[in-house]
Amino acid sequence: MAAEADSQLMLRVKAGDEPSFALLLHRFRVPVYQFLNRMVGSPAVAEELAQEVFLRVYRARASYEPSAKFTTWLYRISTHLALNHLRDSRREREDLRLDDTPEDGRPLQVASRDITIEERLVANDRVERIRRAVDELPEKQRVAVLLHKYQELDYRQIAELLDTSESAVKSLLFRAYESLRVKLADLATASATKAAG
Amino acid sequence: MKEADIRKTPAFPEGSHSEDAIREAREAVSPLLDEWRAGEPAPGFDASVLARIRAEERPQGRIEGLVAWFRAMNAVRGFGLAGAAATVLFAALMLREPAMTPENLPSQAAVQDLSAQQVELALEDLRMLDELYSAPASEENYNNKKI
Repeated sequence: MAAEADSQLMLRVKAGDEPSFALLLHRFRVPVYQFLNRMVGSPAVAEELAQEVFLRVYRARASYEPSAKFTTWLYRISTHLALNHLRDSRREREDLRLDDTPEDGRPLQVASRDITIEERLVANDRVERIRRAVDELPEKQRVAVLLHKYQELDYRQIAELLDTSESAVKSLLFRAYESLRVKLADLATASATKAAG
Repeated sequence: MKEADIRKTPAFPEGSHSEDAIREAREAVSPLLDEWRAGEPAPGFDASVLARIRAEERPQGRIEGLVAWFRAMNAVRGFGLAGAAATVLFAALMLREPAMTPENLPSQAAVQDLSAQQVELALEDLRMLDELYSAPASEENYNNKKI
C-alpha cells in the first residue's frame, strides 16, 4: 500500500507537483542516507551521495514509469552511486581507532544509550568490527545484505536491482549471513555471556 | 574470506528450504547487525536538496529567457533590417543634398523696380538668345542636306 502511495507520489512529481517530491524526500531521506552511509562508511560522503540520489530522482521524473516499486528504483540509483563512488575513489579506508571520530565530527553510531565511557568504547569497537565484517563481504553480497537486513527489500526487488535472479539473491544472502556469523562469532558469544550474566 | 571461514560456512540448500535457511542465518547475526546504527542526515538535508534543485533550474530559466529574447529579435529582424536600410538611404541623401540650415540658406533676393525701358531691353535679349540657340540646328540641317 505504501509502495503504491510512493509510486502515486512520484507520478504526481512527474506531472509537475513539487510538494509531492518534498514528501518523498522527507519519507526516504533517512533510509537512503543510512544505506549509503553503511555502503561508503562516511557520513559526509553519504550525505553528499544521498543528495545526488534525490537530485537524480527529480531529474528523471519525466521518464519515471511505475513498472517497478518506487523503492527498487530509488535503491537502484543509490546502489549505482555508492558503487561508483567506491570504485572511483579507490580509497584505502583508515582503521578507526577507539578515540577516532568520523570525518564530520559526528560520533560513531551505536545502539546503546546512557552508558559509561568504558562501555561506549567497547560498543564502538564492536560496531567497528561489525562494519568491517560487512565491508569485507564481496560487493554483491554486501549490497544484498544491506538492502535485505536494513532496508527490508524482498528477494525480488534485490534481484531486480542487481540484475540477477531471485535464486541467485537467496544464495548471495545465505552466504553473506553465514560469513558474518562466522566472522562475528566471538561477539555473539560475548553478547550471550553478558545477557546470561 | 579465509579458508577456515569457508570450511565453516555450510552449503546453501537449494529448493523449498532455502528461505528458511536464509531466515535462520539472518537471525543468527541480526542482533549484532542491529548494533550498527547509521545515523541520520544533517537537519538541513531536505532544504539543501531543494535548494540544489532550484539552483539547477535557475540557469535553465535564464537560458530559456535568452532563447526567447533571441526568438523575439528574430521575429522583428525584418523590421530591423528595413529600418537600417531606411537610415542608410536617408544619410546618403543628406550627404548629397544637405538640408536647409540657416548657414546655407541663400541670401535674401534683391528686389528693385524695373522701368519700361529695362523690360524692353530684357525682352530684346531673350529674343537674341532664342535666335542664337536656334541657329546651330538650322546649320546642322544644312550640312545634312549637303551630304
